Amino acid sequence: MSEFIHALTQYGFLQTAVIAALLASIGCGVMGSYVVVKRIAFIAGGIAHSVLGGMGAAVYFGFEPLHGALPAAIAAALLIGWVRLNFRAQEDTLISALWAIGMAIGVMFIAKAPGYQANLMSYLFGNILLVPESSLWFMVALDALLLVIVGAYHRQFLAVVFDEEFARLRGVPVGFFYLLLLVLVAVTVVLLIQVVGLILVMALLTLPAAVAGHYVHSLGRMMVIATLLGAVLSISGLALSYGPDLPAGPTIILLTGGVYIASAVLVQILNRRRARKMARQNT
Amino acid sequence: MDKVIDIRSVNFSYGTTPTLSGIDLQVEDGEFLGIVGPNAGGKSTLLKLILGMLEPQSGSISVLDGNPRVARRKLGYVPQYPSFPRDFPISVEQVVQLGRLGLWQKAGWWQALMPSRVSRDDKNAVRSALEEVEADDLARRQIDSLSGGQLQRVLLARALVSEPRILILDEPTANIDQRLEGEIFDLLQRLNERLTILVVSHDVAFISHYVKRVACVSGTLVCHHTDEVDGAVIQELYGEHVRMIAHAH
Repeated sequence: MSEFIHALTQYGFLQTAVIAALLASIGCGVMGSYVVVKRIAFIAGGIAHSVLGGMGAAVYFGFEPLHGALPAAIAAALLIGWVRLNFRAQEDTLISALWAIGMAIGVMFIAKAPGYQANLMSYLFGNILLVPESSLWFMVALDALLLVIVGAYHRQFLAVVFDEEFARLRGVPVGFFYLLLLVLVAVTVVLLIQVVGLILVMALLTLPAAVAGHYVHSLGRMMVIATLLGAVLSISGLALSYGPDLPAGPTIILLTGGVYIASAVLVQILNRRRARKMARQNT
Repeated sequence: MDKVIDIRSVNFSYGTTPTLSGIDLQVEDGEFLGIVGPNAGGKSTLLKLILGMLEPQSGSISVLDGNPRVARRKLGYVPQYPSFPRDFPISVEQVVQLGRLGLWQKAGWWQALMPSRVSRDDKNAVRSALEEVEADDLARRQIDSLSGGQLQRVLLARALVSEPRILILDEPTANIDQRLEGEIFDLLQRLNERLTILVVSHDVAFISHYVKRVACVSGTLVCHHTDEVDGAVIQELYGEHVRMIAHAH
């Protein structure tokens, strides 16, 4: 750990990585909480994996992969949202199809990209140490967009994630807010891809929020705790990976997964103890 | 008296199976109407048509002199089963506050600029609605800690907080015991002094104590005054012999 702290004061790329992790945590905490309470992790997974299509196309046509990721993520979110709103009965199959097709398009483009062959692994599993400084402003802009929209419409989002039928009866344009929510999830996916890549993005999107949900009982608090937890876990994972030269993305995910499992077990034990205590008091 | 709901010759089917045929129903302002009938007879479908959640294949539905989709912001609705997960991290107060959505035109430009703002009027309305259903002590509780009866009162408060003209309830007492059922219907009777109420129930004898008219729905719809509802009417409605037990609440 001391080696990491020493390196952090010396190397600009490590400082950039830490700032990227902090910026990604904001999206992870805010949108991850919506994904967890609305139970749309599968939909978010579909969006995340379809993004490879856009990244592959960007590489093929000579652009930065990230510049292809954002439009691809938004297109995937709108397409998957439209499927969910109009073809609910076949939702699973259609989202699985879009998931696979998006990835296949990406692999095809990358395989046929002229000149330098991009490293597929870095898109799939990310490399936070290679985040360029210029990407930080892009991440700041995405976070700002996300916070402004969620801040302005948090009650409408709450109504849609809590009870779509009632929201519709109250005149809330449920379809619009549902699609907007998925677009914001797509924006978050793009933020998180920089940290852990598109395969592992689901863990960072859902697990900090799920751990927060073990201990707090309001969506607002869940977002704050999940953001802080996401930041602590990302930076700790980065620090742990630095000394033994492990890949940062998988280290962050293993740490996050470990914390989630430990928290789930702890909550089970606490609930059982509480139930036994209540039973004793009632007898 | 003015008609607040006017349904004429409505037919509705899910796919190829007809659910409601030739439905005619007029509900007057201030009425307390019971809707009864066998399972899968179309009671909930009728409510969804009135709420504008479904469109009839033929016929016309007018609610508060307009299209149900436009009128539904002036309707309060309590579903039979809550369509949200009980473990959702939300407090009673927040649930009821959501019932104020859709009233922003009333609140003016400030609300239009900040659509998520909870105004002082909203907070007062939430407090009054919870007091009215005698659930003000539950405001800070999480919904997963509520009993069936408490949740039903909260859903009723959520419907009332938008100051509706018509209150529509789909078997509001299906999941609670008889004592609480009586309390809920006593409350509805008080609310009927200022609201038109439509309530679906499975217990004809019980609601007959409260409502003035009963709409019997079983694919078709026939209305009876409560004093006309006897064994023959019930048997005809359910299409088979119905075991009737005299009981008082």
